[in-house]
Amino acid sequence: MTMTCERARELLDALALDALDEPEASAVAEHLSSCAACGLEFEEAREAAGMLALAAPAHRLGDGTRARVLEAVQERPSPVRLPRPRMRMALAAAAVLLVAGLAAWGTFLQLRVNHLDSKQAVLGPTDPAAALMALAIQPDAKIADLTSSSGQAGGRYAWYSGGPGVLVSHDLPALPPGHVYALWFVGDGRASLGGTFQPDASGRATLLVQSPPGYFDTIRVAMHASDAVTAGSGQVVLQGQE
Amino acid sequence: MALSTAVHWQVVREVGGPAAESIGGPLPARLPVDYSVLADDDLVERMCRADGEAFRALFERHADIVYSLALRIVVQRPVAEDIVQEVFLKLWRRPSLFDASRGKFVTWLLSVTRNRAIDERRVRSRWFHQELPSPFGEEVLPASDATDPARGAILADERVAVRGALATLPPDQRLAIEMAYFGGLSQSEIAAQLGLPLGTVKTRTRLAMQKLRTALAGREDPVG
Repeated sequence: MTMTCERARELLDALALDALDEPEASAVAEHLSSCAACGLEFEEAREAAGMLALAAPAHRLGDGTRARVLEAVQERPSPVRLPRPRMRMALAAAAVLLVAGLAAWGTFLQLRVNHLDSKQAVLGPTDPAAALMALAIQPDAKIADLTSSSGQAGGRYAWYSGGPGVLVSHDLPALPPGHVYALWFVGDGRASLGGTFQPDASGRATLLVQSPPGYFDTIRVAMHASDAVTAGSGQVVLQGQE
Repeated sequence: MALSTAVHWQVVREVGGPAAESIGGPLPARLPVDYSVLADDDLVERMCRADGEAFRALFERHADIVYSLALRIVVQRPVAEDIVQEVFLKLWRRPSLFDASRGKFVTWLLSVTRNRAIDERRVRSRWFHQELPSPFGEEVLPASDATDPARGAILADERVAVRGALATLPPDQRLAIEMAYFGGLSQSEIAAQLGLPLGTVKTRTRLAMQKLRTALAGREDPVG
């Protein structure tokens, strides 16, 4: 049902505070995207919400942290500097490990990898193995470690700007019937779904994300009921920072 | 009125021809830039060209307010310091993340800070079972020592305005929006924590924000 302006205006202040629950938050956001008047009012609410930051007691950042930040910037003179050589080596190593791991999954994957080995240059991201090998040669590729607060589950997410991303995870708990894992990208107050997947019997899983969001600062793997894969719900199993 | 050195040399060159250039020393390569007078948007644009001094100016200008907000949310100083470092280094690595057409830089910067701090708070409470102290306890006495006295005065005025507006709110309404903004709680979570009906929380939030918006209407955006 389409949300009315009257209803949207009742809720947009809570949305500006990022305090609105789903599915109302999505419904209001959808209304705001098509209603200029409500959109304007939402901007006013967001500005007011933003000013709440000034209600925080004023403190001066310590000299130690100031120096650390400025030194870190000096170590990286260019905002577009390439990752350190050990990052590229780590990516190449991860690609090798992934290829070896996938080979154990079945004849089909082994044949596919062998076929891809015979090709040259950048491989299209048609499957996680191909995508990870393509990642390994990208100068701006990144890796984020995902960890669990309990148990042995863990994972890594690799990506490069404008390209696909690959999640490789291990020791994931078995899923109850009717459940899936979902990969979420969280940033700037929003959560984007990267995809859903199920691990194998040993708890391993890979997921290829064809079009990850342009900006995120947190990556999460959460367990959801299959019919309830929504942001903010589910049990977070793995988490990592960009 | 004396011309600046660069303008004087330009005039001499145009009027006197080659002979005139023999007068005095070489032209200055370029005039020094006073970063402290540049607007935030200009500094970010310079950062996109790897201008480290532009970053330094932005950092010195906003580090304290970013730290203050992070500390208010996560309460623990080392955690807040890490957040400040993370936010600014991310800005240095990807200055293009800020889109000037979508609003003021400081508003965006504080939004990024808040989101990061809320996330950290949630991770520590849900993932690692760390209970952070409540951000709603007694206020620590402010100890601001702005590096830029002029901007510090503006910031102090804005801070007074916001606090004044909050002080006019009934305590239950103020708590509702503070739990949302500084605690990162949804309305249903606030209702659960306070043992109130969801509808009550929604009403308090809406009334509080309407009063806040009215009280702040017409004021300049903080340190923008």
